[in-house]
Amino acid sequence: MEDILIGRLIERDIRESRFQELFEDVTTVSIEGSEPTSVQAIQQLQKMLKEKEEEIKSLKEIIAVMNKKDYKLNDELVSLNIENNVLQDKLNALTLEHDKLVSRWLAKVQEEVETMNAKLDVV
Amino acid sequence: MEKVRELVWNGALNVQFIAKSNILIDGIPENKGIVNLRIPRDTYIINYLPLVLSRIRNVLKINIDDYTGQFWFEFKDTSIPWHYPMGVIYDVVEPEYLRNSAPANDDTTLNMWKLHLNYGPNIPHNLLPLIDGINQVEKYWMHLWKQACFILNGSSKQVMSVSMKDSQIFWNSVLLRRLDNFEHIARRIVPIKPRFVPLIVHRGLSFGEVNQPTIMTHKDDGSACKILDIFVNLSLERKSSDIFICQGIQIPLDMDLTAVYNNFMSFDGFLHLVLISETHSTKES
Repeated sequence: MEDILIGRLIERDIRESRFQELFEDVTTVSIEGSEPTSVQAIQQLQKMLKEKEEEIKSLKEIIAVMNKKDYKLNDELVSLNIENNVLQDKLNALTLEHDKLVSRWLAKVQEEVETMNAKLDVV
Repeated sequence: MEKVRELVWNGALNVQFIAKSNILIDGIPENKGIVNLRIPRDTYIINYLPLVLSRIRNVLKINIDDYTGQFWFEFKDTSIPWHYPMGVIYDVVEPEYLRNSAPANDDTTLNMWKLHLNYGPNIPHNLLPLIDGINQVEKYWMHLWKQACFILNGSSKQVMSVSMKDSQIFWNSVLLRRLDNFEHIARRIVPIKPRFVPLIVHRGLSFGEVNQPTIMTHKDDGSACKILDIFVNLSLERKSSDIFICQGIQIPLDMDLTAVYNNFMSFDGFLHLVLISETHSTKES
């Protein structure tokens, strides 16, 4: 049985190690990887990129807050518009009533004047 | 047995890591984000993440010395778990090469596992979060050994009594691939005649379908339990095309479970078997 297993494992290794020279063997290198290279400019750029990403993140948060405020103000504007419309209607109705009362009062006064004049003519 | 253990321990895979374009600096060609490594089968793939990152650090958008998100590996757009041995995951997702008709057996075919490296603020839901880096991997591995020890011996005393120095040697033997150190400590934990075997059965071609059956090494009549008996234990109907794969090879079904465990035990103390059935192959095709 052991021979069968050994044969199969060797077969597996042949299959899986084909062209292994194209692959770096990790058993011969440090698992933590190589030391940082001296390309400081790239590290600096990566740092800048991170800062910019954080800036974008905070700006996005500000935009989200502003958007919420915008929605609130819009709602307020709509409610004020409705209130304005209602008050305008009320104003129109009151103006109409006022005009009616004035014309009625004028008509009454006219009538009284005419009555008085008629009395004077008789005298 | 020593020869088999040596072959099992030294098994390795050709792996190509490809950084996803969204984590590369804009304008960098994709081939600059490729790392080719030959990685042992019997280890966690996540152990090699620092090495992969160090090779491509200059073309990554992310500063690998200071990042808040998480890296993970993907195979065909599916994130792969780090908490199973790498060879097991490979056997789960790529079992086709075992079939004789597969071109993988051709002398001119390069067998290579292509994995994509991805990064995001949140880890995919099917992966265990990695908060403490390699230290967490070591703790997780030690915890598995405690589980395995409990199954084998009925208590975790053998693992708990390993000194700090020896437990460090034990973990380093996995990282530095020292079989002699590994076997020296593992054999103190694994009894010669265990009553139960720590076993995990993975279903081929899918992640997450895992069974961890409680299986005795000997039946009630005193005869040794065979690999074939796993079907009964899992209440599975056995089909003629069903095969068990372990460490990249097909395991004879009439082999004693204890013998398979002693020969093919993984570095985490468990025996990982991959069950490939006809239904799985059909589902995939």
